[in-house]
Amino acid sequence: MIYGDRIRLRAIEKADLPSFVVWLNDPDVKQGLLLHSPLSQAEEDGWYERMLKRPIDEHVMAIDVRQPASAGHEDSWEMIGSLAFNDIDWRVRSAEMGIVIGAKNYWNRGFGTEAVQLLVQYGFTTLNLNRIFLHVFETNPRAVRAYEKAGFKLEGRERQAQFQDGRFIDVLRMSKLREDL
Amino acid sequence: MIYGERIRFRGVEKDDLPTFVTWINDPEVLEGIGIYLPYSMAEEQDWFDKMLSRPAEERNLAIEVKELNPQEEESWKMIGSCGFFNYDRRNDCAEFGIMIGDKTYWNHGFGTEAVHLLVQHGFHTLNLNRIYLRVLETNPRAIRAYEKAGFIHEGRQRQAEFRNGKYLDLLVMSILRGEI
Repeated sequence: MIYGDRIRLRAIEKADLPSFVVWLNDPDVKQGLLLHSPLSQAEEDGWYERMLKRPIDEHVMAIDVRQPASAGHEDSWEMIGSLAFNDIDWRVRSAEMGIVIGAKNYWNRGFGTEAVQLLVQYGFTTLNLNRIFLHVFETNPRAVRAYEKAGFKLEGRERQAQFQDGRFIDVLRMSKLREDL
Repeated sequence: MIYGERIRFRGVEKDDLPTFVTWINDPEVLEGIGIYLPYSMAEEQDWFDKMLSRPAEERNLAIEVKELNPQEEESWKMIGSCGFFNYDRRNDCAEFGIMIGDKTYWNHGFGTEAVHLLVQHGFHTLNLNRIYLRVLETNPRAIRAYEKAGFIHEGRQRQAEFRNGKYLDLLVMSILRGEI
């Protein structure tokens, strides 16, 4: 596990998949993702099997939020989303990252920013990456703000790179370098 | 074949591969492309077989220049190759790459003409909406050619490549259907 202030990152389990299917079919959540068709549990199961075959450093992690402790109980955690590196290029020490906060009642409370910060820290100080980048739709200012707060810089605008709701929108590209830490 | 003013595109043949291998082992050519290791004929043949199994729109094209022999007869000489990849049908978008491997044809505008011809093919035949490319910041000759062909700078991928002991930026350029 990778522990932050209010959150932790852990490997996902098969039991997490039904929550992912609910999130990834939520139009509000999907708006910010590359996914565009309805997603079945069967497809998600297939995705999970393929994911396990990918290099271990590209496995998807669950974002858990620590819940208020009650007397005599250990910490309990609630999963609110997931994140991962993909396309790690070890020669150039560069990787893309992706994140989804699927539990909408946790939006706008800084959990996304904290999760990004934690993953970035892990990427630079444990995986020995030099560059972490991401794509975000121009229609998703909430995400852009979170990435900016986590120290990402806008490095490009891919014009009309995504077709959504009947029109082409721009895709922003942001990155953080190890020297920016 | 796709004909331009001084050049044409044709499908790549197996006979072209030895020439490609010579080009992509030339350090000067290598500086501008994504390959960074010595490349064998066996690897090139393997690339060719894989390329043939890709959708027709994504297969590489040979760039040929028209030449006249002393009898004033037309002949065609291959000077490089180009093609689309990362083809995204839903978003009508593709990345493109080009290499002029025959260095005696550098700085004569053939690259610019080839880029222009391929872009036209992409918009007018393949019905693309967006064509983009990535180019190393250390390759001003290519950047100028893309600018002349109408590409617009849209981003700088910081330290996204590593060559000769240091990190280099990759520039992203694009052209949209309405801009041709």
